[in-house]
Amino acid sequence: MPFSTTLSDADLIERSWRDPEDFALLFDRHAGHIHRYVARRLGDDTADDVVSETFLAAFRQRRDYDTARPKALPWLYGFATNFIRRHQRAEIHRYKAYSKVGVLPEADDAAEQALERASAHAVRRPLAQALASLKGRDRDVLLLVAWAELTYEEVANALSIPIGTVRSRLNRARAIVRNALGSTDPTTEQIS
Amino acid sequence: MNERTDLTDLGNLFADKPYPTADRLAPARTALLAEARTKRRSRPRAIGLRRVMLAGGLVAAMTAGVIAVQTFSSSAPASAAEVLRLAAEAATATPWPQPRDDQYLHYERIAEMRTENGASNVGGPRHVTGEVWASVDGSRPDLWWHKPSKSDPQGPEYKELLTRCPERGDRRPAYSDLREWPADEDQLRHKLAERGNEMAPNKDTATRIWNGVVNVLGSPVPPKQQAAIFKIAAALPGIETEELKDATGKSGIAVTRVDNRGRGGALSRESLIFDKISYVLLGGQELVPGQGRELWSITRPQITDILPAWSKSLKRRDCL
Repeated sequence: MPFSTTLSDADLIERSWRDPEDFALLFDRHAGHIHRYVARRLGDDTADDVVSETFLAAFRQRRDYDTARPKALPWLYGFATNFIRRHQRAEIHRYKAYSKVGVLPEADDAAEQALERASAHAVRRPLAQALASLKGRDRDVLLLVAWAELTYEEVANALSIPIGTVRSRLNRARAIVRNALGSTDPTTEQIS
Repeated sequence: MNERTDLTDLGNLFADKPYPTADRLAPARTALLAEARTKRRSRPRAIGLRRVMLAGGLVAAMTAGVIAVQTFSSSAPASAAEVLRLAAEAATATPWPQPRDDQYLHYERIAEMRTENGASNVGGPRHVTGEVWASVDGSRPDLWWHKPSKSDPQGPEYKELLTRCPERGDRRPAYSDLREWPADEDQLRHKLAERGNEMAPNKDTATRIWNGVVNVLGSPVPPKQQAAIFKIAAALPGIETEELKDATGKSGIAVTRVDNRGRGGALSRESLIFDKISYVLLGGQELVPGQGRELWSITRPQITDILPAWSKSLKRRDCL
């Protein structure tokens, strides 16, 4: 049976200690997820670079991987998050631009812009504004939960922080997001 | 407000961002593999010396027989394009039979299919060791002899004469057809794309050309056309190198193109595998993670005037 599909991520990484090229199979499994996540935060072009940096960094540190954890995606998101931080100003600019005009900076096609503008209804713009206003570390936790769909424990592993810190950062970030959403519709309940 | 509404709304923000294409990811994957290969090559010197000695032994053995093989550096080339460039050189530098139209090309073809997770779409026999006698101009029936595999000596064996049916548009070109294929690169690219479109329609141009390349190289191709085909493949986007074993278990250097052809857009990795020393084409592999893989290899053809005597008792069957 092909080991590319029958082995766990941890098994693959362990194999790559002996046969470094096996690490490319981990790329095949997860690069698409990492790229899409980064592209939602920074756009496709920067995502290309971040994905490359992420997998090179992970490859160089593959011997440090805790093979008791069968899934490597949180570990990879951790590297990606570190590289995303280098583009924090561009990320904030992106959200602010969207919150103002309902169009992402990279949407250069007129038809695409019109479509985006039409779909950027009253909820999305305040959400983008809220993302722009968050502290970087709070935004990392929030988006790893909301976009990468990691559990609290996986976020803690990805960012090497205690799970209590994940909860507190997430609560802080969600309060700001709720506040932004609440201001768009006066009929919504108040946040307790 | 529902407790999860904020996360749900946030989860929908920019959720229309598509997953990247294989072409988009290819440069990052190539960079990763290049670094991984650096680590592999940093093994102790003794292994490198052993490789060179083995390579010398192989060349000597092959030269002593009917085949002379030009040797190239044993250090792995840096890029897939470089592998294909060396393969193009090897194709024209290596002696190759020049058959007449009324002769046959006789070669061995081995194919092995492995499925995963109960996938049934690969189908067919799991392992085939076959001998083929292919009519050079396609005017006579081809003879295929499928033998039981070594791992399953009691497996089915069959021999069949296959006639070419011109009315079927998707037939594989005969060797003499390939000899007449255009030398002009643009025209040849167009020809390969046409062939690739017959194999899998409605793909982008690069994928059509790659599919045409792999399909055509599955049977003997005249050296001049082989070289031209390798050069065209070298210019395709999304190709990379890796080390793979062919269907005989021989380890080679592979040029792989990643495509989203698997079930539900899953990655498919299709490879051409070359001898690490001579860069002669050994065979290929298609791997679709979650579905299975197919390995194939063909030997160099020899020329023969007639089919084996035992084939006279066979009835002609089906179209080729």
